[in-house]
Amino acid sequence: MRVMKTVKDISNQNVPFVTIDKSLDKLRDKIFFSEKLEKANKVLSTAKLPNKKRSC
Amino acid sequence: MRIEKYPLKAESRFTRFEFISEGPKGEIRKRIEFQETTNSDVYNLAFGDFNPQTRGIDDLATSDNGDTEKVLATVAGAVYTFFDKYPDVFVYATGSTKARTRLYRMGMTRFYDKMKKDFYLYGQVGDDFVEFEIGAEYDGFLAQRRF
Repeated sequence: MRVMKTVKDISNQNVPFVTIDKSLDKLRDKIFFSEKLEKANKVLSTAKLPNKKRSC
Repeated sequence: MRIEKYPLKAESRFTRFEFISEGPKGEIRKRIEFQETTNSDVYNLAFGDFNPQTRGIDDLATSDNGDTEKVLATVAGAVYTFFDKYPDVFVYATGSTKARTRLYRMGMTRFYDKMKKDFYLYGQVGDDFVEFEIGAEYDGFLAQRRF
């Protein structure tokens, strides 16, 4: 018998309830956090990233 | 332990999210973005309040809406959702201010036991990234999904 997930089960998951909102796609080209992006790019230009772990 | 989160709205590529914080100061629209950087392996995590006056995002706002833990849990949830879609990249995060960076650290510390099982977590010290340790000060943070 299938057991329906309760609200409790759902709220215990890592991922919150996510719905796609197409209206957000309209803002795709707008950069909202330009200063943060600049700061990140500056850090990444000199930072030594850790070796990326690969899947087995 | 169960931690409450807000429902998220996402654009179709799952790089931009919105949710509404609810508390004593009313409803506050929050935005989370995973931005492409000049390094194609790294996305930058940005997070702030939507300002209805300027129709921009204020990443310096401290909304004090009494729901910090729920907000941090929701941002962590967005990170999980993003990595489900983009499992092979790093996510970098740093605050606009030292206080905001501390808030990020607080979030990572709060959910560390869970997150360390799912992510490789690093703290930024100058130009280096070291394994994240609770209690240490960092300039920024980096995460990679565990497989």
